[in-house]
Amino acid sequence: MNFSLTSSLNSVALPKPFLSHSHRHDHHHERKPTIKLSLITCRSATNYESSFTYKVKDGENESTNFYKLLSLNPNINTSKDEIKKAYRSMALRYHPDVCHDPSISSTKEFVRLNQAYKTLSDPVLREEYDYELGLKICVGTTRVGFKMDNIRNHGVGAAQNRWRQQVLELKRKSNCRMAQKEGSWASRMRRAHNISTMD
Amino acid sequence: MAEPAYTVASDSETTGEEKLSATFSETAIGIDIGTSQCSVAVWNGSQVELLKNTRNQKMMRSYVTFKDENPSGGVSSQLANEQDVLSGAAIFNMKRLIGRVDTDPVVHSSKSLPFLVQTLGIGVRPLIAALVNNVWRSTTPEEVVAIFLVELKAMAEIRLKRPIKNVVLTIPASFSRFQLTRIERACAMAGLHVLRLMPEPTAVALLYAQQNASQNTNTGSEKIALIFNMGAGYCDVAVTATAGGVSQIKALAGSAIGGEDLLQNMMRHLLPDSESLLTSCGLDDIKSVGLLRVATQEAIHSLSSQTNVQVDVDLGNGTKICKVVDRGEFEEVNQDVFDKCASLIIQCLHDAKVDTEDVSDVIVVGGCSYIPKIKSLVMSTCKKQELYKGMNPLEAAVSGAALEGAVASGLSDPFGSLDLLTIQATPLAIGIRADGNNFVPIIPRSTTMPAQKDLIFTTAHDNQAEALIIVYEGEGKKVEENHLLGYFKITGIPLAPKGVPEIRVILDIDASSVLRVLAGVLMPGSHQPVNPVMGVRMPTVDDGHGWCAEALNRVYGSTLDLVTVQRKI
Repeated sequence: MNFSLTSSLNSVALPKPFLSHSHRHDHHHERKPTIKLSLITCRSATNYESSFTYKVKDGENESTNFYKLLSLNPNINTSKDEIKKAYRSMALRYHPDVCHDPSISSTKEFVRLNQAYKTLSDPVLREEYDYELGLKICVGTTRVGFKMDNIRNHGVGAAQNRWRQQVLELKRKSNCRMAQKEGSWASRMRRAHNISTMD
Repeated sequence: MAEPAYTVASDSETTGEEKLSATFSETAIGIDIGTSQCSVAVWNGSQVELLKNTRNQKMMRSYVTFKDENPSGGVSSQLANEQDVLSGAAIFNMKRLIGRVDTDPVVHSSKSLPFLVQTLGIGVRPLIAALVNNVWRSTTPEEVVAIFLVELKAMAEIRLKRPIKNVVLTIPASFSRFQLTRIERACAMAGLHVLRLMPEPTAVALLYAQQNASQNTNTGSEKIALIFNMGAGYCDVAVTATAGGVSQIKALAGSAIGGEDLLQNMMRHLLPDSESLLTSCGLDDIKSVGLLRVATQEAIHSLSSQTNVQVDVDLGNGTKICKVVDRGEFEEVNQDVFDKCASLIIQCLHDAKVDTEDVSDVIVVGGCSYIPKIKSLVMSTCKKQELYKGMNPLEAAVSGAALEGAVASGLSDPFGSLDLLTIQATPLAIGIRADGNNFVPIIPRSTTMPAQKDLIFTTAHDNQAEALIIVYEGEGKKVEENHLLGYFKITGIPLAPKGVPEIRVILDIDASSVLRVLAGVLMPGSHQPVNPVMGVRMPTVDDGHGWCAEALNRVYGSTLDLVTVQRKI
């Protein structure tokens, strides 16, 4: 997989991996949106000693599926209230204040729960996540509709801003790749994830 | 001279490690050390109970007197009258001074208190002293709080007939992490182990969650509440989403404004041009200021229930104040304080992404909640006609702390009264210095805790082999506007053009609010750090000295700088 910088600059259709990951990243709604190397953060390992070892994990498996983390069935029709309720009941089990089972790493569990909740309780992040899980079918028309929604929800400015950040990020990555022949770890990660095929 | 009542604990004691392995054999008690009053509460097996001292008081004045070299606090000692507290021998308002350096405006405003607060304005801790037999005897805020905690502990041990070790302490939301270490130090000196430090409004939120637990357990619909807590020293606001006994803190805001500011503004209003008198350390002047303080406090209390009050006081130095003050005057001289209160509410609602119409309940607690203007401004800012009624304004925070103590001690209740949880959020952003002198937040304000976040930085210069990670906490855009938490160096960065090495900084906050900073170097094409990762517990700065950062700058300039990987557009 190779990014073509020119094509992404000229076309509105951005490479999917960046779009989805940066959106899923939970900084999206905060005051100063900054894009990060999303692949590192989006599935953060909470055990800090192991945080530096990037795990090549498929997004669909048990441990990282946000719906399953909240004991929900992956379903686009799950209501926001159901998600909130699921989050609260899981929090009552796994929050370090209430979880006194030494065999469970409650802090780690709870940080993952938060991540899942933050994604699924935000309509935009959730829609993108649902696409990624394959819960929604990615046909051309839907895709356009989705993008339009996105712009409507966030204002053209925000969408543009994000898009520009993504281009910058691509540029930086591409520079890094020049430095290292085999490509950056991020691009190899992307290959490992095989995310590009979703586009 | 009598033995000090507290045990001396090492300053470098790692209380955080202890927290993880703490045994939960006893129910932790809740303590609310207020700027002016303290209280202790505990879960007694079926409900929260406030403990009373030997004089049958639930609320005890927060002060320590150093008469005759034997310190004694407001829990046990009986003072003939208020005037004794203001004679120079008593130290109070320590919550406003703990963990602050002498360049802090809050320290400067404390100079009008009737004991010695000496500042040099160089960013070190102020000198605090009590007048004992005509000698200024120096002490520290930690020592005063520790003496007071020893008395509270002894009182609780008598009432509960068991040794007390674990406590949940309420703290102001605006406390920096450095101030928290000072509070923990005071607890360690008093032989107490801090199980949790809870921002006051979040303790109130837990009590609210308990009161509402039965109502909406199964409906899943959550209630948004705004909690406004203003005492003598601090004003805090929280927005919480509550359902089924779980209170999720959406946002926190706080500032060191409180009843003390209202009092000082009013004292200056009653006695214009009194600056030299207020900050004087002469015996007679202290006495005069004490008299003025008592009279002003009484007037403010009266103005909560009546629209005007007659102030009649002889300061003993030839000055007599005889004046009728009305409520409008009081509100006018304190306009800035009230404006700040309103702005905290607006900021908190904004951070929580909540509109006033989404707020179901508005809770106003703390000593200042009796002031009509406070009630009306909170109601008007929240566009509400009435306030939540189910709480005792003075007991709410300590009751919440006692609930948290029971929950965090692993207690369960057959009736489900303890199926409660507060999901905390960070009150201040934490980040590092990068892109020149800028503060780059890694964990933003109001992030759910425990939390782990990271950000990638890169070198600012070609072939830069080392980088400084300087960690700050606060809201300012420039680093100097924030609290320095600590710093360390990343070494052994492989020589490369600037912008190529990736320096990954992870901030990790656990459930006990312990902060760890991890940093490591990654080179493109590798996903293993180049060298062992640095893991540093913060804060590491000893005295909160801002000038540590200046010293670093003097020695290293910008040679060890970092820049963010993605510049903001």
